[in-house]
Amino acid sequence: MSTFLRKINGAGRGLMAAILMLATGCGGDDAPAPDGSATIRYARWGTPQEIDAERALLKQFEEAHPGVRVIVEFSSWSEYWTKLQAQFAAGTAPDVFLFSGTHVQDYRQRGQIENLAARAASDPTLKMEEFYPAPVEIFTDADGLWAMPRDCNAIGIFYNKTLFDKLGVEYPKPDWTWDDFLAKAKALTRDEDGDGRMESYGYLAAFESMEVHWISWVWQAGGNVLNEARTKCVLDSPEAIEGLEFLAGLVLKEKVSPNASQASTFGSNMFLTGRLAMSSEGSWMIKGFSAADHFQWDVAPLPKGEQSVGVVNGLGNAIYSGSKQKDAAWELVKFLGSRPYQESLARSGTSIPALRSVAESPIYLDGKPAGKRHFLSQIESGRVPDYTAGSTQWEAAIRGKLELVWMGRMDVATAAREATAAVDAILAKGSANP
Amino acid sequence: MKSSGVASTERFWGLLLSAPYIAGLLVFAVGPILFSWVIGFFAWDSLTPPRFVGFGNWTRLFGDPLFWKALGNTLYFVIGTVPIGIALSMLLAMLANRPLRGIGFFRTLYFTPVVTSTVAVALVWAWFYDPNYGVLNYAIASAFKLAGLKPPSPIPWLADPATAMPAIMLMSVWKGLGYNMVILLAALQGVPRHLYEAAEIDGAGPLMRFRHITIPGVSPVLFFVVTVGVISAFQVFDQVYIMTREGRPADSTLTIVYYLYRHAFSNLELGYASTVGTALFAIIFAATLVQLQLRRHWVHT
Repeated sequence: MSTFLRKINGAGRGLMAAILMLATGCGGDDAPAPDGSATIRYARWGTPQEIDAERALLKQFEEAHPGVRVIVEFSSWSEYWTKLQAQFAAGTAPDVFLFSGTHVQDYRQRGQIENLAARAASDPTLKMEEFYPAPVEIFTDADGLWAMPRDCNAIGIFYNKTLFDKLGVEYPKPDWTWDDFLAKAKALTRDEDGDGRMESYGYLAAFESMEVHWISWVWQAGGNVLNEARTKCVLDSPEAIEGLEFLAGLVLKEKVSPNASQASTFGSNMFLTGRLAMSSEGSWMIKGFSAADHFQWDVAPLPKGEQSVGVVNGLGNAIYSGSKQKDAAWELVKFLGSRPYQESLARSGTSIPALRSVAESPIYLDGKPAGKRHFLSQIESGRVPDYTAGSTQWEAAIRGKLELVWMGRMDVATAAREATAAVDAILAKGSANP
Repeated sequence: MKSSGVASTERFWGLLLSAPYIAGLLVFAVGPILFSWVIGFFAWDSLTPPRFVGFGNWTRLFGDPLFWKALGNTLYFVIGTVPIGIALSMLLAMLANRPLRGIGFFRTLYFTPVVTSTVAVALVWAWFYDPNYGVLNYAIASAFKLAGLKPPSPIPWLADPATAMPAIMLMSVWKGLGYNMVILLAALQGVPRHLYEAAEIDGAGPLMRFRHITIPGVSPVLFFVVTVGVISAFQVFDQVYIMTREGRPADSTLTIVYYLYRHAFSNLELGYASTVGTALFAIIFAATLVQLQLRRHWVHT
């Protein structure tokens, strides 16, 4: 039976490989050459603007490692994961790829990612303690280390100083609370001409991203998404419901935030229109917002609830377990966490470097916005989301329920209960069939 | 007999020359279809060996309210696009069938959306529908202003569960018009002229001629257009993928193929996704059988 099943699997993968080869026009064998020369494929998501900078940096790597050539494969964020999955299935995954905590358990439990623990422990040139703990923690479990840290990210309240000034509202203080936040949001929501449509909104309470939009509020209210063992969902606890209730209330009760369809009338990023006073955004948005020249803005830490905590996340570079160039790939993932690469990351404004000394240096901290430093203090006190196998699935299940709440079609308690049941089902399945 | 020798030589060459096509069909169509039927009985993530689950995927499918929602949305799309689309195509075909100067230009114009990629069309239409910059809301606001009224708030076409699916339907009807138009146009040109002349002499008006000559005359082609239209409408995917990712808002544009895609490529459930594909195959097959049965009642042969 099991040989039969292996044959089915093989047939399926062969089919995938054939289709993928037709689609991408690549394939072929790439066994390591005896002279140590190697060509490694490195995949990441990013914007077209980042490609040239990335190539220039990799040139440095190639110069330091004669004989090693790196082919960069860029994808947009939206197609990256689908493509990677198809490549895993076909056995043609890139040697090195940018990876997130959301996906790590799904793929590492299926044997697709190389365990880097032994290499990291025995490599004399590497000091793991130089990295922020968050991106290391995300990729570490009882069995090993699944990616090398690349960057570390936090969420802050980006605020429009021009709008604050115009409406005579004081800028947020670093130790502000939910009450301060709500008072400001109310003062900043204005219908100037009395036509029932707001000219400005205090805040955009969105639900799309667990990391960016809501998990910090749930934590601050004392709740969480999963229990400590990550085996059950606890989103239906009174504390978690309180956090979600506060956020949904900003839309439904206080009306200081537009709902999803109102927000869509402000374009793809409402903050950029200059009509949104405050927005939860990731530290990686600094670069994108630097183009806004019609208003001044800065970053404040998240306001404090019953607890003071914010989300910290990070990305890493992983090695494909089927790679034939693991030694060269290891050199590359180390390079992507090393000083030259990390400094360039700091300068780009797209991410906070995972290397603490670079993040805390003027290379990252100089320049606008001044509030960047709040991200670093949040990294110190912050928390990493609980990821499991099936993270993308249960995140989507929760998102589906929150969407109904935000539309006013379901109350928070019911949504939390239904989401909890859905997440529990996914978690139960995940452990039975990795 | 001599002729059988010729026939067998011809058969040999016929098979030989069609072999590449048949091989391609077997490898890239029949093979994957059969494979998906089999793998539908397994839990399979494409990375580790599949695990046999019997009818587990099927019970899960029937028990998943989201599948029924997706099926309902898909039926809504089929019913909302096929009849209107074909009626409009018929109208266009009749207009394009007139001996007008520059008619070739108009025929080409209406066919352009068909040969344009759905992805490109969907992107452009998403801009039409944009509440902020979209031409549709601009037109509505302008009309109100012209009438001396205060323009209403912009309508978030794709973000409101009530309008999202109709917005996608409108775009799909527009995109498909030219295809059906060209086919129906060819059929119209095949209806013998003398029948119209005879009917006119007998005193039949334009409506009577349409009802009793045009419709029966093109009915075999209409049947083809309806059948193919229903099949492709059941498979709607690209529009949803581009315009309302994830079937939003509130799953109001979640179609069966998007549901399949989500399970296969976000959830790593290729076995379950294959079950969904097989179910869709069965649904389309049944719908086509029903149409074949109905055919006797209205198709003139």
